[in-house]
Amino acid sequence: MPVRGAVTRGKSRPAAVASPLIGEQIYNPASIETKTVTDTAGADADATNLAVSFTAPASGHVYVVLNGVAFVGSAGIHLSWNLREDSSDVFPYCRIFEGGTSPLRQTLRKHVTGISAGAHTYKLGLKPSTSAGASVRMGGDVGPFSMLVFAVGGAAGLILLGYTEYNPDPATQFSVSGSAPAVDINANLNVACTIPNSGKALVHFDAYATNRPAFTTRQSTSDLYTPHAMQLVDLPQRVNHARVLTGLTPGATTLKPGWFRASGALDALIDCGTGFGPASFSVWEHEA
Amino acid sequence: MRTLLASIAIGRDPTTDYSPAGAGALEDVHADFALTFTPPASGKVLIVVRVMCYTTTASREGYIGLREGAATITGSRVWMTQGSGSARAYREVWLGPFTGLSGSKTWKLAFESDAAGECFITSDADGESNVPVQMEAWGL
Repeated sequence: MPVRGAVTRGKSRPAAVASPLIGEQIYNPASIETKTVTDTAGADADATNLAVSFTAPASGHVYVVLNGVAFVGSAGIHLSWNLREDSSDVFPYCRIFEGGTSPLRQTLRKHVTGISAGAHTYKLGLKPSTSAGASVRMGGDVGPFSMLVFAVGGAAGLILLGYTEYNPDPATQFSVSGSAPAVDINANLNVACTIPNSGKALVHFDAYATNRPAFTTRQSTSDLYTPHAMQLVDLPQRVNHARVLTGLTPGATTLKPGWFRASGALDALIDCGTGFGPASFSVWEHEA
Repeated sequence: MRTLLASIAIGRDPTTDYSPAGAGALEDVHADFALTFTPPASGKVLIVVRVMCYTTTASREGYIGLREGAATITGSRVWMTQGSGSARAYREVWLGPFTGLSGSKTWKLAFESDAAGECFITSDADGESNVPVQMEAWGL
């Protein structure tokens, strides 16, 4: 017998209290729908169905996850996502991918801070680099477009040990040409944190990357695990690295993302800053 | 992402590409690619899956899902990949939240292709291209 699921249609609803998940919109219509924006300044994808409502936590800090299928109207243009509230950008557009017209499942994980008290509704924004347009697709066989809002801090919120978002203006590019061993990506991405007595943490590293990087988490000059190859093609796209860590030594430390070139002849690249969005590194405590 | 109920991060050595034997239906990928967990009192769970999947033919499409025994978890089947080359990348998908759950659960990663032998999930533990299959169950 199928297990009771979570498919919802229509308006977003605040999640139950005493959970870190304070807002969710899992838009999954019965038939496939495509939402397209051709305005190169960016616009709402669907202000009704691709919008998530929540009440701001006391910390004013949330962690947002957007997950769904995206594509562009012609080869070679790029696509960016953000969140919008009314007619304002909650944060600048973050580049998602550049390439061919085949759809890709993509994720954007983003910290939002300084949120005022009270109710908010964040809408998905799409921005194509040309008027050929950028789209998201959901429903039917494709599955949902998911918008999740987690409270950070407080009694029920996610426990953030430390994070950094490096978003320079003008944008900058990091590169690595060598294979193993891994090296630090950049000191601006280091996170000073205190590992709890449980010795457990979860790391997230997000960046707009090109070619074939492999990512790990480093402590001093040691890799905490063998780097994960993020892609075996040379496509520019936002990549989402994560690892559950256990057995860490409790106490103050600095964790940092590291990398090498997993394969191929081209340097692995990260672009971050204006026009691309931040590279971010987050360290979370997890209870288990 | 606060209460971790279960997680795996498994890379294979040598590299293994898993492909459904048939077409048009979810099939278990491997017995090791599964989460066993007990939902919290709220009965609400979020599953995060990260896999490298790809197709060898441009027109082919791949889906992932979760199965318990032979049953597909409602709302877990999602489109993941289409086309050769450009799709050979690690993909993260957030499944759920699933609600109304109770008792011990073993949910297995499943994969579906619209043509047998043309869609793949890669698992690799080679030092130069370590590609683990990652699954996490978070209580909410």
